[in-house]
Amino acid sequence: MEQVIKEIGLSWKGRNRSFVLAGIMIVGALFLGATFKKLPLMPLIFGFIFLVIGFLNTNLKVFKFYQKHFVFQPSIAHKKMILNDNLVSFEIEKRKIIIIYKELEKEKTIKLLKETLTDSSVDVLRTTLNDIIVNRVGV
Amino acid sequence: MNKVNRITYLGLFVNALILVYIGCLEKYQFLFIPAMIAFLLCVVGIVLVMIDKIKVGSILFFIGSIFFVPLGMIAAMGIGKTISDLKEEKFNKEVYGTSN
Repeated sequence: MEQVIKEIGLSWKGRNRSFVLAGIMIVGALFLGATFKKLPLMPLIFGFIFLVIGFLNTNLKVFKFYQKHFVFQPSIAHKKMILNDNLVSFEIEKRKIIIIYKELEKEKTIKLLKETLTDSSVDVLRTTLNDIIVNRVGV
Repeated sequence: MNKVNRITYLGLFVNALILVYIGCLEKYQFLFIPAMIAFLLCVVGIVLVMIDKIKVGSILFFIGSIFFVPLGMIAAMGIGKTISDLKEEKFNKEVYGTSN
């Protein structure tokens, strides 16, 4: 049975983005309702959906590192498993994190906004991915 | 038999509520048959995912859920999570020889 070696969660901004959107939708709907004397349902429903998404994402771990692979999970419904051997390279830019890996002999890219992780998490991610590449190459 | 996530069942329940709501209101009667078909697609999709026909099942489920958007997004999210969990289970079996 494999065990999680490291986990990287969302930053405050990443965690609460859905709640902010939900707040905007609900307050907007109430404001429109008060102005036009008729409550618009769509923004209210979308607000409710964003609330549900926000609660589901509260404990989300974007990266989980195991012995032979790591899991990238940007949202509750989307998960990508990547073998350490298939990691090609990574780049941490000013606003984006780019990870390149191989899948069925084709190179694929993962792009992630840097602000969804905390600065310390970005450092952990950098060292961990670096370790994976270095250990594999055997330098 | 594959396990289906609880969010999927919650979404299916919400879709059923919408179907009942449409059925009860006279002005939306013309939408009842399409809504019924969409709901049946969701049910068939869930059963197919359970019996390991993941691709066909998820496509049917997504098509069915589109009718109930925006609340249908809950069910779509649930089936998305179910599929990614099943993929992870399969991946773990291949790599480590265990599903946990």
